[in-house]
Amino acid sequence: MANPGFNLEQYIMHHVTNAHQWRLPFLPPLELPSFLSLHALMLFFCAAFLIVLFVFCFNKKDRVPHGMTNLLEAFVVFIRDDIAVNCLGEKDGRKMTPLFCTFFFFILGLNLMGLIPLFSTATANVNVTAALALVTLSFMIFGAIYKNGFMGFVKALVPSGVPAPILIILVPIEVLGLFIKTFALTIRLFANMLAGHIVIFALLGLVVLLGFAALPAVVLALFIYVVEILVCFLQAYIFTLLSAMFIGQMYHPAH
Amino acid sequence: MTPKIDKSNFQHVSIGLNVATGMFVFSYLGFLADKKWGGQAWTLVGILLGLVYSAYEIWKLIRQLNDQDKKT
Repeated sequence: MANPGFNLEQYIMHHVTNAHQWRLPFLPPLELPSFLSLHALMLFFCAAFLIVLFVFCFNKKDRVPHGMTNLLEAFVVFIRDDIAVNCLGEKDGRKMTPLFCTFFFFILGLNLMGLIPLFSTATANVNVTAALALVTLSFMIFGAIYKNGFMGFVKALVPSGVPAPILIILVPIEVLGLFIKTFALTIRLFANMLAGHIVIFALLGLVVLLGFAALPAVVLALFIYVVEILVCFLQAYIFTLLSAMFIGQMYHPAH
Repeated sequence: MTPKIDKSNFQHVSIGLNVATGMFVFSYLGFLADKKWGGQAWTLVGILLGLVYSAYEIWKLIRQLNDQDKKT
C-alpha cells in the first residue's frame, strides 16, 4: 500500500509551479506554446470568465436585481462604498471603483480557480502578484502626480512635524517605503496562496506515501480546503483594501 | 445601525508584513552592496536602516491612530 518510491517534494512542486503543459485526465498532456505558460492560460480563462459573467449574466436593466445580478451587485456596492469611497473620498472613490472591482474579482477568480481540479493557481506565482501590485504602484506614483502635480507628489513623501535634519534620512526611506509597501503586497498574496496549496498537497501526498495509515490526513486536507475558500475571499479583499488605502494615502496625503 | 468603520486608516492590517519586508529589503540591499564592494559593513547599515524604517512605520501608525482618537 505504501509507496516508498514516491517523491513528495516533486509531487508538491509539480502542482504549485508554473509549466508549459496542461495535464488533463485520460488525455495526453496538452503542450502549450512557449509564449503561454499554464498560469498565463489561467489568467486568460479568468478574464474570459469575468467578461462572460459581467457582460451576459449581469443584467443592469433590472430595476430590482435578482439572481446573479443581485450577488454581483452586493460585491460591487461593497467595494464601492466600503473600500473605494472610504479610502479615496466620494469623488475619487467613485472614479476608481472599476479598478478596485477588477482587482477584487480578478484575484478572487484566480484564487478560486486554484481550488478547482484541473486548473492551477495563477496567484501562487510571484510574477502575477507582482504585476498586480505594479498596477497599484503606478497609481501611487503616476496617479498621484496626475492628481496633485509633481510638487504635490513630492510633498506627500515629506512627513510633517519632523525637524529638517531628520528629513535627510526619512525622505529616502519614505521613497523606498513606496516600493516596500508594493513588495509586501506582492508577497502577501503570493505567500498566502502558495502556502495554502502546499499544505493541501502535502497532506494529500501523505496518502500516496503512507497508504491507508494516512487516511485521516484527507479529512485534514478537506478542512484546509474549506479554510482556503475563506482565504481566497480574504486575500482578494485585503489586496483590494490595501491598494485602495495606499493609493488614497498618496492622493490625499495626511498633513 | 452600527457605526461605519473608517477603513482609510486600516494600516495596522499591513504593518506586520511591511516591517518584515522593510527589514528584508534594506538588509538585502546592504548584502548586495557588500558583495560588490567587499566587507560586511553595508549589511550592518542595511539592517540598521531596516530597523529605522520599521520604527518609522510604527511611529506613523501610532500618530495616525492618535489623530483619529483626537477627532472622535
